[in-house]
Amino acid sequence: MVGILSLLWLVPLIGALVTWGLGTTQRYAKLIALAFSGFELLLATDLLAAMINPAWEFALGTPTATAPPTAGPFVPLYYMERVGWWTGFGFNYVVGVDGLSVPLIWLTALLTTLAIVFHWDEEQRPRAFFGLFLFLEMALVGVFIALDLLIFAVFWELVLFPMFFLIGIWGGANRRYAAFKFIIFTHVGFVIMFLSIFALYFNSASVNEAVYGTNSPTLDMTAFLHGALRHATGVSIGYLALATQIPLFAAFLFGFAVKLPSFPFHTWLPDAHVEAPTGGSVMLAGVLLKMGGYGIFRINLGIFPGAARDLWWALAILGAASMVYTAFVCLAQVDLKRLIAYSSVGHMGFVLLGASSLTVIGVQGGIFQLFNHGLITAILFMLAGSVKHATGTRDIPDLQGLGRAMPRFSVVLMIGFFASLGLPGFNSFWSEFMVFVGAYGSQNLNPMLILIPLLSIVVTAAYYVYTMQRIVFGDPPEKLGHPHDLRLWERVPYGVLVALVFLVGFFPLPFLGMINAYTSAGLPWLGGP
Amino acid sequence: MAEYTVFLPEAILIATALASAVLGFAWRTRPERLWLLALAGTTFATFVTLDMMGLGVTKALRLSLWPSPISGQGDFTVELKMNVDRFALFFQVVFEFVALLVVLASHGFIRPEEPHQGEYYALMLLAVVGMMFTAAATDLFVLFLAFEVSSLSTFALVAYRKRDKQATEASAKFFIIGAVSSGVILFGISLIYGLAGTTSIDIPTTDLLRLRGPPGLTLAGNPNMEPPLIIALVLLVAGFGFKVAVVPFHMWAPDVYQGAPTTISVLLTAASKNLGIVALFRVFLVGLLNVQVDWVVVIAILAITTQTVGNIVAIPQRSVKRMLAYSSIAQAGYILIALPVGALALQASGPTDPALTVAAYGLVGGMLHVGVYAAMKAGAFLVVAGTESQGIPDDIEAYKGLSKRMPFLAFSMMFFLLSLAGIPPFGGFFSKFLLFSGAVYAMPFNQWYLALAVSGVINSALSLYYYARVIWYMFLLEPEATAAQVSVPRTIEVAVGLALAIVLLTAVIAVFFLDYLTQAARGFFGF
Repeated sequence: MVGILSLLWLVPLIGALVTWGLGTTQRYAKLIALAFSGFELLLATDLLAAMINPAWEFALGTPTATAPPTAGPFVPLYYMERVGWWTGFGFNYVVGVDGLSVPLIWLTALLTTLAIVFHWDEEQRPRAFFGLFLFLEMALVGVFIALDLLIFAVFWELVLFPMFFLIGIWGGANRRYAAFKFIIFTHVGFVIMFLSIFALYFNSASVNEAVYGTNSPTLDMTAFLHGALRHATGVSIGYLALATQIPLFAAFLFGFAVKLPSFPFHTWLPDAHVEAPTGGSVMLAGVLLKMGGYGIFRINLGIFPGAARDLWWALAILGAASMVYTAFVCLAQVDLKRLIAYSSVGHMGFVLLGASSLTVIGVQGGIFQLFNHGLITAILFMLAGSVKHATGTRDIPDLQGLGRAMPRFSVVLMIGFFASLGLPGFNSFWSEFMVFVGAYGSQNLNPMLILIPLLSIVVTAAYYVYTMQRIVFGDPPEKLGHPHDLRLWERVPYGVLVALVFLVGFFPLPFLGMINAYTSAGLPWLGGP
Repeated sequence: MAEYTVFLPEAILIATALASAVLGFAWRTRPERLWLLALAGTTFATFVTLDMMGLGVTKALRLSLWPSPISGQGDFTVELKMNVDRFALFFQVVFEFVALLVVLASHGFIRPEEPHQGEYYALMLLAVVGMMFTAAATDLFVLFLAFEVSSLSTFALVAYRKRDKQATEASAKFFIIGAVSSGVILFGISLIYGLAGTTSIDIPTTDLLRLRGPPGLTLAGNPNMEPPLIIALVLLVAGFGFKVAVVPFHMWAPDVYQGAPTTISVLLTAASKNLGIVALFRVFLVGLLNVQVDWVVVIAILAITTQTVGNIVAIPQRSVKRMLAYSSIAQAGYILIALPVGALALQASGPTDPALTVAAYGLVGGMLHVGVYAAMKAGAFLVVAGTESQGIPDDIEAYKGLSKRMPFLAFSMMFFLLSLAGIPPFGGFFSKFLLFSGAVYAMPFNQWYLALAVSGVINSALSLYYYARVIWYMFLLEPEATAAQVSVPRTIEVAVGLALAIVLLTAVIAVFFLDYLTQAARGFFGF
């Protein structure tokens, strides 16, 4: 289908305007939003199917990689669309997808739909609420498909505003502080990144010449991706000098580490999560954090391979510190939602550690972790929302004996916790295992240092099991009353997500195949197994 | 071949202004006729200017009433010391566009029974004519005269509501500061005039093109003249800096913007400030280009200070008008970045020289930001005018829940504020992108240019805080229980809508504009 990628961001945009704009239909807002997000999910599923197995595509056409005009190896990007824009200045509309972005696009579409279903009983300003979800989906999909840095920056910033409003209008008591902290932190991260986009732009003429045969500055990411690949695999082209790459790598890493977030830039995250409405938390942890991880793989590894070989230790330290630090912080948490928020920071540490290993298996594990964490964390944040709604509190000491009072809830809680701590059979087992194998096999450092981040696994297990023991077991105290178990519209998202957790846990290969296609062709310079 | 028809827009505006002043007596009871007259005159003048820029309507109709697109027909550098080139036309159309918005909104803002409406429109249009001549001036003295025409008209306009104590106080303050800065400018010009006679040029002159040369104003003939040159530069920077409200010459701006009738605040912040900018461009990037070692660093430091002070002082403001005033100080600081970058043009030896490319890039960024800034700032002040016309004060507390009381204006305000903060996909993002990236582009010539870009982006990040706070009040807080939905005069909504269209569609409009701006910048530097 021509224009499938543009359709992917236009459908939610139109959906947002329709949902919000049909003034008299407060009651039907959720139906309209569900229809649009469902259609978007269908499109994304079709794309996912086509990428897993080209024979499964429907009306898309077989995915074919677009080669640049000059001979040489190139990064395979599928369904590319390119429209000239400010051509005199080298700004164009370029979009495309590959094995890195398609899982995240599908995750975005899935979680938006499920979040809308989960909020089926939303009474406060439903038109704006569901409209903002679709708008957020538009911006997120845009980030994952954009292959021009200016377009990328536009979508990157557009993500902030629906989230600002979701926290600010539907959030908890301290929402003003949380919303402003969120917007200021991530915006500062963005402007630092933005400066390095300028620098990249003015260093791009020779790269553009080598790849597209035009000696003029450009922001086309594909020129850099192809150029970096050729340079790293030994084809002699004029690429960014190492001295240029290193500061740019650091600046981009700063922007992504704030978004991811990584210790020590993570302090906005717990506040934002605790105040955000459940669906907002699902999108925030499920997809917004993935923007940071996506950026690290796409830009830090894809565009600056030379600097990555020099600065891998920065990623490793940030990752290991996030994992260990937040594991201990989690032990001390009282609020269930805050605990889950901190655990997200730890799980994003896996992504950094995987990227830092610069091995095939570690990088694949890091990418896979982005997808897996999206599924699991959505379950966990929905659980925090359900328990708050049913019992009126999220404080772990006040909750007890929910196994008897809310059996369905407790089953999902245990599945979610086990999946999150990475037991075999659950999806994140594969990604966390791969990250550790990759980090162990990395030639960069003494393999025994892996014990430091490995320690966090033990602590993670400890806080999950301890929390589970307190919440699920024992007798329900009097003051808990008779909390209702999961309602119908809550069961649907849980069912879908739990099924996917097991499905991916038992059959990871379709996803790994797609990711492998990306790493083997796009980052062939990675070492190790 | 010079054609006098290039002055048609100014002629139309002068005619309209005089007609309005005279007919003001006859139509005292029918101010809407005066409004229609002013609107028609401004619209027609804007159309003519746009057509000269290359809109091509008259060309499509096979008429040749005026040059379209312009190429050299506006060159009156010998006869009138003026050059209506692409550069001048761009600024002229910005001034006319702002005037159009102000005239449009005045119908809803100025109550029909208020006296002296004929003079109101007449003074406003004369101020715009002064601005347009300033943009075209190629001689310091012509530039000064045109500058004064505009300034004198605005002094009177601020005190238009002469029984309003705040407005007369603002006007007195504005007049005193304006008069002092005029004197300062004039003294600077006289020093330059004398310097030109004693250094590399042997005849005293104020002609900017002769000052640029070759041979141009350098100290080659008489190095001892550096102290008077520095005094002249200080005086010129200070004098024009008052107009632009560059820190530390900015104190008058918040008081005047707050005290003046809000439509006049629009004119001051969106047009009058750009008048100072265009004068700085003409004087420093043409006339004083050769002596740049003496001013580049100063202007760069002023740019950084202006951004930072403007943004920091804007944070605690409770009055939306004052907040917008300080934010416009900061915005002027961003535009000043174009001056040090543009100064690289001196090193350019020919049309393909990389230094010229960088200088032109910086100037394109500056010009685009001037245009976008005019639209977004005018829009934001017009929203304030709309709320004021319905009796809502400009205190931020009164903006609680504005999105429910006047949805269109609240949404427009949100877009203007986000654009001012440089958030994509609004206009301010793209113009700031070009402006700040120009400073990075200049880094191969001097590493210190990076400081300008860093200061720009960090200040933009900082400014988001106070812009977001207004959005917070308008959208996230509930209105007072007693507050009802209010409807705003249709003309103000139309004016806001026009400004909004520019801010939302910059990414598209610029597709047609960027080539024009690049040519304008190259023509401006004489290549």
